[in-house]
Amino acid sequence: MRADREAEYRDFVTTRGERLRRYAYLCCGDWHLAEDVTQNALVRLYAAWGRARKESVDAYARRIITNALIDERRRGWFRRERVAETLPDAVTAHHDDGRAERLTLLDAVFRLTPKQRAAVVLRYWEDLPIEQTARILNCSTGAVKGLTTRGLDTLRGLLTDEVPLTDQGATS
Amino acid sequence: MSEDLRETIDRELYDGSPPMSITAESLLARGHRDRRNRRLWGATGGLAVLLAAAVAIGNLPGEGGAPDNVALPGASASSSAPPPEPQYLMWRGNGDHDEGENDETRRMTAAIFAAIDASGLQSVHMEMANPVVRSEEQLVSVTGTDPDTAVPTGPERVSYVINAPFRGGWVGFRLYQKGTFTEGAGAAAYNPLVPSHDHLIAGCEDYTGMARPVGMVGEREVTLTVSCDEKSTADGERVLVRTAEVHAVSGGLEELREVVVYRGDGTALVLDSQELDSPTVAQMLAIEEALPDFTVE
Repeated sequence: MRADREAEYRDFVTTRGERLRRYAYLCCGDWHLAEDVTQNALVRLYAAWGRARKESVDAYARRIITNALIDERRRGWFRRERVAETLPDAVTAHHDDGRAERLTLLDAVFRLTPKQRAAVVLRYWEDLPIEQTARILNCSTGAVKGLTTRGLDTLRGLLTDEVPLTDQGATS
Repeated sequence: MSEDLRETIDRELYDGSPPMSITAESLLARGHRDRRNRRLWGATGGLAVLLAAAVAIGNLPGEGGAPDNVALPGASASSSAPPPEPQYLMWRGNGDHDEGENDETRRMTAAIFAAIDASGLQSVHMEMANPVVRSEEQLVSVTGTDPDTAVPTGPERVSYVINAPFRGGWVGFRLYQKGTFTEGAGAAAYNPLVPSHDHLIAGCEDYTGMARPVGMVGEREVTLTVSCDEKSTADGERVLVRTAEVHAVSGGLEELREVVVYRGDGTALVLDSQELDSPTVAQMLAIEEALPDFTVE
């Protein structure tokens, strides 16, 4: 790879890597798996960097991560090694103000089905439009709406009035 | 989701986030190495996936020690010692990724997408998404649930793998080399959905107990209702169909469908789906019918 393209790639990893890892974590709830999947996605991205359009690499990376997690999950329904005996830190986090007794928003997000979770995260955490979310999840825009509606309904039920939930995501 | 909600997630996320170990320099070094390897080895590689790893969960068929079919030499201990951890045999990928295509994987990818279209589903061609990958696997023995204890203990095998997208879903394909499996459903020795290492499809017993599905946090109590059906293709090849309904006690239902075709040339093709909506078993059989013969080494 040419030096200037390599510098672009380095900048991308430096500026976007952490955000992608957090996206992967929100999708799978496992920091180790999130890091593995993000690393593999970035390696794949490196292999394609020369032919990737700069404006679409972020979407590429998210799609690779999403596909990898679907793939991992397909292989992994009870199949993959889960060595950790404790839940991820965020789920068991304790807070000075006593919130440890209450369900955190992350706790609730992790109780969604994986596809609902990915749709909710892409729409409302990544703030992506419905069309782009549908492309990443490989489903129709109607399916995205259904997934996010059901996901938000579930979150509302779990969280009652602790966190205000509206369904205003990005529109374009 | 409102701005408040995004901020809440960010706050909770940042509170519990371990530091990232990925660096641009390590990725560049790996990228350079992969490129060198592809040049050296002609773009073949494997999956960084630990295939069919054991999950130590209770109440499974065969619980209470090493399953019969995987008892290994050296697993016994003296009566005063704590009971040894069970050992399992499993196939493990060679730990490297390779996204390079060659003529063989390109031909297989094209044939699979054409078969999806011929079955009535509409394939989706995603840029950079999942071409057929050649996977080299090694039979290893693992003690307990620690993958670091894996010791090579048997032959290597090759399989070809793809998760192929179509409009509205995904269907998985795994094509296995001749002589690397035993026909029929194997006992679910340590895991309700994983067959013993020498089979390609798990047993047909129902299951109730705790499990930790990937993609979910924490263990879930699940009830698994399994059915198996035997069929044959128009060419007379043996087909096994296994359907597992997974009911999570906390809510949610998934249906996992697997179709195994033991092909006339000695290879075996496994198609699987875990979407509730599609594809159906009939659609997976239609895809298989539309596939041409592959010759794999």
